[in-house]
Amino acid sequence: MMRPRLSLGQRRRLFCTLILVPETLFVFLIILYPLYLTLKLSFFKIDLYDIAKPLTSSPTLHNYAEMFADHAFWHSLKVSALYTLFATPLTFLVGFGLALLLHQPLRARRAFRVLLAMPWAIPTAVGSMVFMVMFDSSFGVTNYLLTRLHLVSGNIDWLGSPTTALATIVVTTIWKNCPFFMLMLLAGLQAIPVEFYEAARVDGAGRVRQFVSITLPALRSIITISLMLNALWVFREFDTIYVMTGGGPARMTESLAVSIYQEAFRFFRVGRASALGIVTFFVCLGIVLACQKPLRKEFY
Amino acid sequence: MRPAQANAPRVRVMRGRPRTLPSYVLLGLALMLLLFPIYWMLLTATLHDDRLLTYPPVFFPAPSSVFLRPFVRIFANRPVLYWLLNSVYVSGLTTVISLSISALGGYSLSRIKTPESRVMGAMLLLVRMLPGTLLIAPLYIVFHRLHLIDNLVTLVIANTSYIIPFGVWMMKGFFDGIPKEIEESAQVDGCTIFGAFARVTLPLSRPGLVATAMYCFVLSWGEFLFARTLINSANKGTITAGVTTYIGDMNISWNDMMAASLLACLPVLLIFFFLEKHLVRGLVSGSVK
Repeated sequence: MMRPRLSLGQRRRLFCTLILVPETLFVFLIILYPLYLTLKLSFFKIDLYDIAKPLTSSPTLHNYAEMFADHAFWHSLKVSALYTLFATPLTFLVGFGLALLLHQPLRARRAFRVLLAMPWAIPTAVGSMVFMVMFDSSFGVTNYLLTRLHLVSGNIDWLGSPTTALATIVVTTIWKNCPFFMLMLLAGLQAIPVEFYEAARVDGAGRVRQFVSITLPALRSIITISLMLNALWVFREFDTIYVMTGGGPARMTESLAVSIYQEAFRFFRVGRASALGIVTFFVCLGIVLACQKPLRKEFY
Repeated sequence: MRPAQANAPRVRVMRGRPRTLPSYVLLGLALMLLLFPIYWMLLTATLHDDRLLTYPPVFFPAPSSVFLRPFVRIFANRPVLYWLLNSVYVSGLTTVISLSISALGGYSLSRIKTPESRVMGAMLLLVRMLPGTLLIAPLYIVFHRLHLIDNLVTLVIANTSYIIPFGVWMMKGFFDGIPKEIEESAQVDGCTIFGAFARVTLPLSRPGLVATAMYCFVLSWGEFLFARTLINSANKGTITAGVTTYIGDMNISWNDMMAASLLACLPVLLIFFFLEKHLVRGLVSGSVK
């Protein structure tokens, strides 16, 4: 029997659908199924040891009730929020500044760009270790330099004292993430037609006016998207905090991400960890929905 | 940039000099601050054992005082060689698999605009926003059931799953820049659809493939949470997870710790140096176009 011959357009479409299959499989099996599992487990009291056994109890909201009544949960949420609110805008400012500096007719611009972007390639966990060494309380170079510059009088226990631990983590995060903003914004700057600036100059607009009236509006969607992506990363950042303080001292830096890890792999309370994960997910979803408009514009 | 110089030469001549000098100064300052941790890692890694706990720190050591024993010692004290090989294996395999899936998926999303493909694309964006820590407990359970805990293949699968959403969108951005008409004319000339994709479109998107591959490799190499959780044996760890085992070990000296850290950074930094140009284009076309 002869099969009906498909037209070229139909075959093209078939091909494009077929090659989407591996990716779809991956998304469903490795991401959506675990997500479903998290949601399910968040309604059960279950130990990490017992995960192979079938669930016997009936689902309850126990984990959520316990979590919302727990002071530690609200503390973690606060830590995550504070961390994001400090790290993301500060990193953005540093990255934007670097992008503006690089967006000039300079010699060796490319070399500057490569060198400035280097922290991006360094594994976060490794970079965090270097900062641990630099911020060591007794022999760290940071204390030495700050003392020599008469900015501090005695050695500060950066990672050991509750007031400075999060600040030190924020500094590390800025160092690691500012290349991301720099590269994104630099690309955005380069896409702005030069004619805009020429016309503005003819009209007598100064540098500040040009920046406010041309540069910022033109970069608006890149700014929103890069801020959003970065806020999402920082909000769930694990590597930096886990490596530098493990959540300490006295849980002062225990963000939601660290808290999930501790619940699941230190206390083996998978149910509670899952409930925490679901809350984190909804916060992240909230951030995404807040930025939906520019997202749609850029991606579709 | 260039047209600005060509069209407004007078402005540049008059104001160029005094304005660029502060820029160089600021850039130099930024360079010092951003590269200082890397420099410090190098200095600490080559510090002599006797001088580890001396104060004040030396910023410019004499070449004769450079101490290379930590680089030898770490291979004897810890399974650093295994870690490096494991990292190469995991990141290499992750890159190959992620790149293949991303290229296919990205091409599909770029070329057809059916409701299903849109849903798929939106789903990927959503997935990209999921916290890795959210997935780690259920992934542990899934791999536990499959008896794949403490197996490097697990890391490849886990890394691939979180890299694909980035890779697909990155590749889609590159394919969007290649006109459909080129492959359509190849098809008219007798190329099969797959032939047109493999022989026309893919070679044209080589910069995109290079950028995405590099992105996958760097991300996979630096991955810490999965490597820390899904692998138990010391010999099976990756270098990124491995070096963090130095933390909290009272007997470990900083020079060993930083020597291992340096080895953990070196491969990705080298790759980054050579392929940075491509990455910049990839970042832009992938996430912002």
